[in-house]
Amino acid sequence: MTIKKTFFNSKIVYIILIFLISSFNILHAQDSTFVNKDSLYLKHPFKDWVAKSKRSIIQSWSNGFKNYTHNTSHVFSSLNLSIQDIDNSSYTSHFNYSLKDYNSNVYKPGYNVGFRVDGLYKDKRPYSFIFSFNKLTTGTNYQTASSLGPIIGSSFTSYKVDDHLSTLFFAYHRRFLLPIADKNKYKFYFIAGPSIHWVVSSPSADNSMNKTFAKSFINGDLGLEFDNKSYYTIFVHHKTGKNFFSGNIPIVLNNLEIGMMVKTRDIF
Amino acid sequence: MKRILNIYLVTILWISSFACTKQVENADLVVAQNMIQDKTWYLDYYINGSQQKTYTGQATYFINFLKNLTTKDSDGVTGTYSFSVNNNNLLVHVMGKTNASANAEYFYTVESIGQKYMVMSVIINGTTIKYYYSSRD
Repeated sequence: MTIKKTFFNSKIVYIILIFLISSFNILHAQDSTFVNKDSLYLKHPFKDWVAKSKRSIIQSWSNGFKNYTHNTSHVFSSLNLSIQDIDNSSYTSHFNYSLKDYNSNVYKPGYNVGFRVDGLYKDKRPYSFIFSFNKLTTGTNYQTASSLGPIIGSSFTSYKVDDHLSTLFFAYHRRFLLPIADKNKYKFYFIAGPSIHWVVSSPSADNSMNKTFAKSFINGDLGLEFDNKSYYTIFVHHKTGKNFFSGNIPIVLNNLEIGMMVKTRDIF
Repeated sequence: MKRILNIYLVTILWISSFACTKQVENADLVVAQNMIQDKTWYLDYYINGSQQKTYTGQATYFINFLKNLTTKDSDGVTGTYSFSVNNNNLLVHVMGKTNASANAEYFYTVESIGQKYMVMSVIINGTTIKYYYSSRD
């Protein structure tokens, strides 16, 4: 035991170890040089395919966006008023929720922050790419009330939608300059385009059964934007979306977004 | 432009990478448990075939379900309860003992359960009996 300890505590052993490791690296390096030289004369189907695919993707990426020019990036924040219209008529479950407690039927406030890239498509058509993170609190409007029995009455729903949602939002908007006011100072735009709300908050237990959870909403957006001498832009957007691809209960999500954006370079 | 779009894409991918939602497992049982527990449920009404009776405003049968999965009713039966799903039916299973230490075990089908109202049913000799309960806690 003592001999072992002395042996491992000895500095010489460590020096020898370092020397051996260094030698191994040198040998390994020499080895790999030979391998590299050899590989020049060999075929590498996978490596070639990766390189070719990479070139192809870079080419497509460059070509795909070559028509988008004069780009400026902005950051924005907005107040987000939301309501969900729930078509619960064809859904039944083991649960009942009193509509007196859950049917608010008003727009409720949330917020979002994000950034967008504004520019011109083919040098003449204004557009914007938008990405934002949303914290939505939604009002709820259940379209059908069901009954529980002879004495309890008929103001219940079998499904309760989640009314607190966190979403990632992506949009592509076309912007149309309106012939209002002096265009050199103030610009008014009408905007329209598609967008998607992708729900990233986890569903409640109530929404985790029977595939009821709406994971995404495909929206149609309309709105107005006011650009004040390029110092800032105030915008009002209305988005109406439906859960086409997830959740077996049709839900229409309406958002009214009122916010302001400034150029990124003015801040950072 | 390429640089901006690259930043845009990378940011989206980065945020999306941790944007996976997780559903609650056995959600039926979790929701049912949350709704029934820590309340006293009073029998308001029952339907036994063509026979109906209301207990509104009268002394009535009641049963207490606690969070620790124990139960006690007005007849003196104490024991445990649990939920299960069988053939898409939500069932509550009560295992208890009477005051005289006799075993009392029964299954009820939960027709509907909420924060305040619950409808249970049981089939006896081919006749469905429905019980309408309300919580007053």
